This record gives sequence, C-alpha cells and structure tokens, in this order.
Amino acid sequence: MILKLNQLLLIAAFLFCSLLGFAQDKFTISGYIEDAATGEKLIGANVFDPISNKGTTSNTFGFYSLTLPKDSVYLSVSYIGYQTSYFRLYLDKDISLNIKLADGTQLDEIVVTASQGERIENRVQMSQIEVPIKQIQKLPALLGEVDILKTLQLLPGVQSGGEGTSGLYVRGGSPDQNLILLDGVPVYNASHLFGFFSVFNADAIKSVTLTKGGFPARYGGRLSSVLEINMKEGNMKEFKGEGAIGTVFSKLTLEGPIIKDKTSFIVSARRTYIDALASPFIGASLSTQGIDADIDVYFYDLNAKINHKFSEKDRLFLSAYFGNDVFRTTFKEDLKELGGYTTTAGLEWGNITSAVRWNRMWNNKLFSNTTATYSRYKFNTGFGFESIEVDNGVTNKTAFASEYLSGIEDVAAKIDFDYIPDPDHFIRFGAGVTQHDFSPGVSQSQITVGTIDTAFNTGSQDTRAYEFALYAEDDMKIGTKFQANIGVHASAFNVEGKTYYSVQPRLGLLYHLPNDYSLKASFTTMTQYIHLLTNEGLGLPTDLWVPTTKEIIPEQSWQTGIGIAKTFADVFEVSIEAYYKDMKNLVSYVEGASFIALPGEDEGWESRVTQGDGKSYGAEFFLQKKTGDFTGWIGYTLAWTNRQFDDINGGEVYPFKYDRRHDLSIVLAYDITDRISVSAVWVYGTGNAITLPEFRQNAYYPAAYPDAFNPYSPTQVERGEDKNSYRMGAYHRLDVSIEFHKKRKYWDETIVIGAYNAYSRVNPFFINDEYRFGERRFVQYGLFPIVPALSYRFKF
Amino acid sequence: MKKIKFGLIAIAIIIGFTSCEDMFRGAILEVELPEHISQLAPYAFFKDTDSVLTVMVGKSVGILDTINPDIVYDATVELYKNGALEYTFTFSNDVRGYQVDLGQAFNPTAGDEYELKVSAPDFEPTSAIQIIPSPVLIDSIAYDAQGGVNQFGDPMDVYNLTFTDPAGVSNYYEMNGYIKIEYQDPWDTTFSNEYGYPINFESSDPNFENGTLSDANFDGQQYTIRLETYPAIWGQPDNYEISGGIYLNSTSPEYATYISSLNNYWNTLGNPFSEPVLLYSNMSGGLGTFGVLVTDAKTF
Repeated sequence: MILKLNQLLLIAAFLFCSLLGFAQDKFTISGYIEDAATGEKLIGANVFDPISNKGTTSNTFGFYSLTLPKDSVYLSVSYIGYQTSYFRLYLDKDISLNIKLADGTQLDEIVVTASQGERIENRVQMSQIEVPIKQIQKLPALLGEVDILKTLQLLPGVQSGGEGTSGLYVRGGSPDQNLILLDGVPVYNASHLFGFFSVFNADAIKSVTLTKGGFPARYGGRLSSVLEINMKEGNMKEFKGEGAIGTVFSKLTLEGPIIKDKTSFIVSARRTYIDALASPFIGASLSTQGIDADIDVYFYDLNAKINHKFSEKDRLFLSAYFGNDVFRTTFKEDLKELGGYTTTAGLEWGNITSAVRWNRMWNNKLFSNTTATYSRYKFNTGFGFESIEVDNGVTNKTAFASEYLSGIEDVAAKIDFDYIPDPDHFIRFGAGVTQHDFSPGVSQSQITVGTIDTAFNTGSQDTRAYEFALYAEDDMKIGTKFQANIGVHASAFNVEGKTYYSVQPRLGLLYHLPNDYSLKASFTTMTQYIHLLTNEGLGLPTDLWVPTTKEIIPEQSWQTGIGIAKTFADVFEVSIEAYYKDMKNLVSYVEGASFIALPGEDEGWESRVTQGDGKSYGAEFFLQKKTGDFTGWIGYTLAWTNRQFDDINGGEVYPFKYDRRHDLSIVLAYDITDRISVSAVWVYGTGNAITLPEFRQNAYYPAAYPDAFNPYSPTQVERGEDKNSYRMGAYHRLDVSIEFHKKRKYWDETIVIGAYNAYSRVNPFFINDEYRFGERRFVQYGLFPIVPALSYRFKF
Repeated sequence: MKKIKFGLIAIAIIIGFTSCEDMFRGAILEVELPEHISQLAPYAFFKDTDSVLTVMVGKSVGILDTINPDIVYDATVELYKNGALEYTFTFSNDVRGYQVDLGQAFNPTAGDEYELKVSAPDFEPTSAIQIIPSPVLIDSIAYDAQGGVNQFGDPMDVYNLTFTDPAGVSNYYEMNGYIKIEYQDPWDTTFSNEYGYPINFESSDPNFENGTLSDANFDGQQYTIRLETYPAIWGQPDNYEISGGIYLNSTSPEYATYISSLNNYWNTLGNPFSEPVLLYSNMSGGLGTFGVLVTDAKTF
C-alpha cells in the first residue's frame, strides 16, 4: 500500500488545516494528572467538562490540555480505580492545574465503582485493551508469579503458543509481529525460562496496553500488535517497598524519593532458585556414581528507573532493564588412571534495554517527548565433550566444542509531539531513527584429536541497517456524532546499499449510535523490516532476528475491522469486532531448513528462507468489568489463519500452526472481604495445527545406469496429508487462587495459595513418535498437570 | 469467617497433595490418529532415450498399519499424448511395475503434452500432465581427478560441466552419471573384474539445490557448473580401466521439484531442528509423481 506524493500532500494539508480550526477567544487548562499518594503520573485519565460537553485524556506522561471558551467550567477528572475529582472555575485566562487523584481502594465502594476513565464507546481507537495492573496481580499464576504476557493471552484475539509459554500470537500474526515497548524501547525476546515467564516484573509496571488493530500512525514497524508497557516512575513522596517469596523465585521492589517531589527512583529485581534447590540433590545422586555434576538453571532480571523533575515544564527519565537466562550443565567423570571425560551443554540468552526520555511542555498545548534508547538481545548455545584416555602411560585427548551465537542490537532516537489545539483535535507527530545491528547466527566449532586442532565457522555475516520513521495523526471530533483518527506513517529502511520506502495510511472512525452504542471501523497498513525466523517444531529461544535485505523484502499488511462498543450499567464494557488481515512477504524457513547452518552451508540464512502470504480473519467478543469487588472479563474469538508459500506444502494454502478456531477465556476475581479474595481463570482453545506423519508410501529414485534392469529404485517415505493438517487435542484449563491479606504494624502481607490446571487436564504440549514393546505409537505429552503455588507477598 | 478460611486452606492442601500424585504419574495420552484412506501412488519418469516406459504403482497405508505400502497389481495405466490415448501399460512381474515396450526410443517432441492416468478398484483415480522440455546439449565436460577437497579436507573428483541454457523459458536440470571400473585380478592376470556404481554429485553452486539446478539466475547463458564427487579410485589407478557416463537431464519443473523434495526428505530425516519436509506429488487425486526428462550424455 504505497501512496503517491500528491496523495501524501493532501493528507498533510488536511492535518494542517485542522490546526487552524479553533477560535481565538478560548483559554486552556493544562497540567499533569498524578496519583496523590505516590506522585505517579496517570495515563489516560479522563478530563471532562459537562457544561460544554468537551473533554480530553492525559497522555503517556500524565499531561493533559483542554481548551474551552471563556466561561464557567466544571471539570470532572476520573481514572479507573481512583476517586473522581471535581473542579469548578471560571475560565478567563490560561490555567495551569496539576491534579492529584486519590487511590480508590481507600474509599467507599460506591465512589470507586463510579470512577471511570474514557468510556469505550467514546474512544475512536478500536481493538485496544488496557488491563489494569491491579487486576493482573489478582489473577492466578503459574508457580505463583503474576505474568503480564500470560494475562494478555486471555484476551480475545490473542493466543498463547503453547502450554505455559508467554509468546503472543495476535490475530494470526507471529510473535515477531508484536512491537513490545518497555518504556518506549523495543524488547526482542520477552520470555524467561524457555517462555514460561515473561521478562516483565509486574511489581515494576504501571500500565499495560495492547493494540491489535486500527493502529494509530504513531506506531509502526510491526504487522500485528503494539504492546506498550510503562514502568512505574518511583514514589515521589515516601520510601516504599514490596516483594514476594515464592517456591521458585523471589523478588523485591524498592521505590522512593531521592529529593522529595523532585527526584524519585524505583528498583525491582527477581531471581529464580530452581538450581539452588535442585543441584544438591542431583549432585548427591550422581556423585555416588563417580560423576561430578554442576547444574545452573536460573534467570534474573533487574528494572531500574530514575525520574527527575527539573521544572514544571521539564522532566527527565532514565530507565533500564537487564535480564539473563542461564541453562548450563557440566558432568565430569574421573576414571583415575584410565583418564576421564567432561561434557558441557548450555543455553544463555538475555535482553538489555535502556532509555533516556526528556519531557518538555513547550506551552499549554504542545508537549514533547525526546527519547534515546539502546536495546540488545543475545542468544548463545554450546555443547562440548572432552575425553582423556590414558593407555600404557600415553595420554590421548579427544575434544569437540561447538557454540552458536545470534543477536540484535539497536540504538535509536526519536521525538514525539502532542499538540492539543482544542478539545476536538489531539494531534500527534514525530520522527525517529534506529540503527540495527543484526548477528543472525554463527556456529563456531572446534575438533581436537591428539595434538591436531581443526576449527571451522559457519553461518551468516553481521548486518547493519537503518530504519527511519515519520508520522502525523489527528484524533478529531467531527460534530456530535462522528469521531476520527486520521494519520499517516512513513518509513524507510536502508540495508546493504538498498533503501525501501513505505507510506502507510491509517484511519479510525467512530459513529455514535442511539442509546450510547458506538459503531467503529478502521483501516490500517503496516510495514515490517525485521523478521524472526522461527522453527515451528522447537520451543527453544533459537529464533533468529534477521533484517530485510536485498533479497528479502519487507513484510507488509493491511487490516480492516468493524465493531460496536458500549458500556452497560457504568461498569461493564462490551465490544464485538470483526477483522480481516492480509499479510504479504512473510518469512519462513523452507522445508528441511534449520536454524543451525551445517558445515558446507555457508550461504547464510537467506538461502534457508522463503517468503509468502498470510490471511487472518475472525470475530471477537469482549465483556470486561474493571472496577468493584467483582472484576474480570469474558473473551471469545472465532478465527481463521492461513499461510501460503510457493516453496512450502507444494505451494498450497495451509493453516498456520496457531490457527485456532475457538478461543474462550473467562477471568473472574472477587474480593470476598477486605482480607480474602479469590480468583479463577478458565480457558479453552482449539488445538494447534501440526504436521505429523500420517501415512507411508513407496517413492522412487530413477536409476542412474543406462539400460538398468529396473529403472527405479524404491524408498519408503512417511508424510502427513498436508502441512499442519493434524489437529492436536483441544486445550482447556482452570486456574484458581485465594489470597489472604493482613495488615501488620509495619507492612501489609498477602499469602497466595493457588493451583494452575486445577483439574489436571493433560493438555497437548507435543506429540512423540515412539515404540513400546515393539509397537509404534504416537503419544501426546502434557507439560503441567495440576501445579500448586504458594507465595508470600509483602508491602511496606 | 474462620471456618471459611480453614475450609479454603484445606482445599488448597488437598490440591497440593493431588498435584504431587499427578507429577509422579506423568501427563501423557496415546493419540488416536484419524483413519487414513489409502491412495494410489504411481511413479513414472520417462526419458527420451527410454525404449521401455515403466510406471510403478504403489499405494499409501496408514502410518500405524502393519502392512507394507506394496504394489497395486490390478491398476489400469494409460498414457495420453495431446489428449489422445497413446499407450496402455501392462503389468510386468519382472520389475513389479507397469510397462509398455516401444521398440524404439521414446523420443518425444518438446512441447508435447502427456497425461498419465492411473486407476484401480477401491482407489480414487489419479492423473498428472507433463509438458516435454526442450533438449539441452552438453557443451563440454572437464574432469579433474581429485581436483578438489571437501570441508573435511578429503579429496574430491571434479567435473566442470558446461552447457548453453535456452533463453526465455524456465529450465531445470539434473546431473548424474555412472562409473564402470574394470581391473585385473592380481592373482590371476588372465581374469578381469568389473563393477560399477552411480555417481552422486555434490555442488556448492548457488543455483544447485538438493540435486537439481534451476536457470533462474542464468537464463539464456552458457553456464558451467562445478560438480564434485568422491574419487572413483583411491590410490594409484595403474591397474584399472575406468569408463562411465555423465548425463545432463533437462527436466520438467515437477520432476525437479520431486527429486529436490525427496533428497531434502532424506537429508533432514531425524534432524530435530529442521522443518518437516512433505514429499512433493503432482498426481491429482492421489500421490506419486509423473516426470519427464530429455537427456544428453557424454561417455568416457
């Protein structure tokens, strides 16, 4: 979807004209909206004047601006979970008003449930879901650790990759098509421990917003979704802490003012101790057999942020994330005078992200955020074997070592402006540049026999690329019935001396129907310049991030959606949406290819991939209650997702592995009393589509000899009917948990007891082809039976 | 309230114990695969030099079936040329396949359309169409005994095969050959031994993949491909007589896809890191492949 220059100019002219459409006898109320107790800025708080029937919402940094005619103004300021504040004032000049909202949990139930942010039927943005972090923290969790990505998998249109894993498959897209932003910095691998946990520590997170379609122009670079995760800024008022001690890991978060109301910090860390618990037992068991074992299996991560207010107009944020996963084993056997052997195997991967963000309020209508970021993801795996044989006093050494490395490193800068000339326009524009350095997989191997060493490297060369982006959008109200978000995102990608360009129009429409229903529609085009090569058969983090190159062209998509939305009884948000997504130039391994280049395969990753198309369509139903003692949601998705590659499945269309016809989630949380709360999650999903050998047949090679007696030589092969033609069994699971809260003198404590997969359903994880008593059979393995969880949380 | 609390704790403890039991029991289920409906799987690769055309007709069996995917003996096999029936094949017990003896080389005309139709009781009929490709002649072959080494440092025989690709059409090639070795018995010099074997070429040529070559990157040009194979003779060849032939087959795209797919299947079988390979078939209504080749040979 490439626009011509004159079309682009028309859009720009339209946006410019919209800036001029406000009268001069108006004045502006502007400032920040924050939590009264902590000073945390509130994102998406609603500011509304019922007299003029005009309103606005706070941006990502809590900034708001509302321009109204000279008159009496009665402002209501509301945010989910907070007490609504009211301000009566006479507007005859520009007013700076910083608003502090009190946490609703300290108030009456009636007040809290009455508090609402912007209603779903008033937001042009469709296909976007915000889950309050407090709600996420109430839900049952695997091994007691609340996980943001696993919670998002419970939303309609979002699927998990498999049992326990944290990958997101949004509307038929693959995980690399999700732009995951932690404080504005892309996170390339969002999983710990082979995907069972995400890298996001819920204690350090302020807000989570997932956009599945109808993308505004400010987002770009991915086809399927944008997940914005914002870290807390740190308590500006007083020193606070919270943490948890669980069966598998513990965590601690500390925050507080460095200079009260001026500078704050937050530090949050987690570490597992599976290795510390299991190693002594494994070691003791093996030592009786003369084997010395050293096992490291753990992950850790650290979030840190400093927030400094230079003035009412200038703020600076420094944030960083550092996380690493280690899976390493070493076995040594000392055979005394006969020698000995050592085997080592390991996997290690991790992310580093950091950002410097400078907020500037240029005037009461113009706000900017300038960001410089660094992001790095690295993965390496290795295997080694060393054998020493002593024969008649002669020592012979044989060794083999192989290591595989891959990664991606980004350095980026961008500037974003929010311009709010009047309540009918919220204009955003900005630009950014990113330098990507790709290391898409190199194998280094060394063989030692006696005194002779042989080393060889295979794999791909590092590649540097530059990505540029430019956007403008206007969230506008047109009369009393129409709202629209019109924008354009332009991008360019320079790699290997070639530059790709893309202009992507974005359109979102809302029409207010009678009885507070709204009808929404959207059309967006997206372009993606970086790709993830995924081996569908593996659950390991062996995926390779690779760039668009001269040979591999950018992925592109267009998506359209239509839906209706309404809030019932002030607390129940309901939306029904239908969507259609068309994806071009998707990247996949060709049949038979793998992520590791074998000796002799020096052509690099491009020779092992192919490009093709994908289609995804379906309908989603979502009913959500965010406030009150009883919260939760019901989400249902009916969807189809297919792929077509000329070089795969004989060029025929086949279902995507995560084509899931039905996906249902029921999520409930209930505060029985102030001291006891319970929650439950039930999920159901159609089984994944996989390729299994389903039949055997003879195939033939033609004979190479002339005048051969039999012109063909037979060979028996096995194959499936088609790629991904076999459906694994349906997935369903019930998780439950109960929390006991208690206020102690110096801290609040919560004991959480829960069960993951409470009725111990054997959900399909993989199917193995095996023999038992000489008889071949296919066996479906589940990963987790019922898994209990016990954790102790504290807060001070 | 206390009663509720203790009740809930009791439930949690029960869940915990149940969980431990399940952990030890393991979580597995035997999968019941859907019943496979057997399909005909004919294979036929006709060369222009063939004087006997052969079609092997097999069938598929379910993966867990204990029977073998054997020959189908009661099939009707017909070859149509440009829509008209040309040959009906008969079953030969010698090759356990269906044959027709032409009495002369098949020698089809480039561009002719052949359709293979196979039917048998209890099976869905199957058919495929092939267009005869243009012949392509070998310009030259340069042989260099042990003129190369592989990645492990082993010596390799090198064949540089040169040909001129026809312009304006997509061409696919397969190269193979055979070696015949005659040598005198060292203990009885009046007696000669002879044996032969096919040559399996390897190539690092970027256009060569899984045993086939596409002209996508050299359409209409003279092209030389460097082919390597393990040496015909290890050591001194003084007492040996080597002869053989090298073939350049101009193939239909379907044949090239099949051979590439079959080689890929065997090359990656058992590798847990590789993507699954589905063996290519161009027989509609069934399995198997019908392919045509036009060959040129150089003997030495």
